[in-house]
Amino acid sequence: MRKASVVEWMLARVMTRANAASVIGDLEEARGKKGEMWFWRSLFSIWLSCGWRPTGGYLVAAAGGGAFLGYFESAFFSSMALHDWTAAQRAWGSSISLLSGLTAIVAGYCLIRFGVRDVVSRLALGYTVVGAVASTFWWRNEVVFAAVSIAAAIAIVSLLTRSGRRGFGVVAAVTALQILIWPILLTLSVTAGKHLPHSATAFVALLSFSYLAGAGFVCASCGWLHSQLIKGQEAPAKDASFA
Amino acid sequence: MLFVAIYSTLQYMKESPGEFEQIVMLAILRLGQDAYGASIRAEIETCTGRDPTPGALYTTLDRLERKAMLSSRLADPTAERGGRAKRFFKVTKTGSEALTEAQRSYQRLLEGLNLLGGSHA
Repeated sequence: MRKASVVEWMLARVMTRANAASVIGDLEEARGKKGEMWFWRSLFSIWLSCGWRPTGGYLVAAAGGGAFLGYFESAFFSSMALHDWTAAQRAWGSSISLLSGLTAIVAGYCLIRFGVRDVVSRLALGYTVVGAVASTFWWRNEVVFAAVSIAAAIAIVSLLTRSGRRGFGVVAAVTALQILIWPILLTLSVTAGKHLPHSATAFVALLSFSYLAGAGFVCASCGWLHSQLIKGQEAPAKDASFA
Repeated sequence: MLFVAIYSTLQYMKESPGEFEQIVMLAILRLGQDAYGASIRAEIETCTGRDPTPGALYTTLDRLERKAMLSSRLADPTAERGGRAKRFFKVTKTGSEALTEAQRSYQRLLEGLNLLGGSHA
């Protein structure tokens, strides 16, 4: 079996291994004619062009999504003292603010990685906006009712088309994955933190590392699911020729 | 009303391919069965005199494939490329329709002009 070269490995960080191998093959074909300088410049240009979106998406998801999650949660808890609320309202408010933060992480990644026209980006953004309104006015039943109705309408409408169903599947799966992994990471970090020397800085560093690793895992899962479900699967045209 | 608004927002906007996307699709159509990265770049250079940067070309190919305007398949690895396979591209029905529509728009804009003949009507 052929052994992958270092340049192929580098390119495989920003695209699939099969694609990286074919791209390097294309560059190798012209290397003799165009020279070493051209080869390395081309490789760098491809790496930058293909790599900035996943990297940028991760940074926006980790920074922006985390900020939204923190904002929604702190806004919810800080507003509890200002309003009368029932146990049901508290349960709804807490859940909605948490879910909004989680969809904000998906939206942040997908908007940069796949653009605003992408169905997953739109769904995640839609749910984040609706969730933001609901979690800001969580003590007002009519606002929460309207937001839940819109969220349900978005789900129903997205299930009408194949791309919508797949997009909804990606958002739901990545959000469910986050519900699972964030408590696990938090528990692991707190447990590991007990073995650290009594230093707040070390504990904050450990929590930050866990958060960044978790965000990386979420983004990678989102990218993988997106590539499996959303990629165009249409058959080639039989007579598409202008020749 | 709400359902209609959400439905239209969620649908992919019917996208018109950009200039470079059209050039890439036309090059693929011209090459037929032999359209892969290196040959597409060479065809564009021959026909337009522009040598596209590989970064721009491969991201455009990837984007067009995501828009379902192109499809690709990997051929068997060959020794001349160090055992690496060629990735052949084909324009899909969606791509063909989008390209035809874009070209029709150009044709409509050109009607009444005689740019190729050197004078404006």
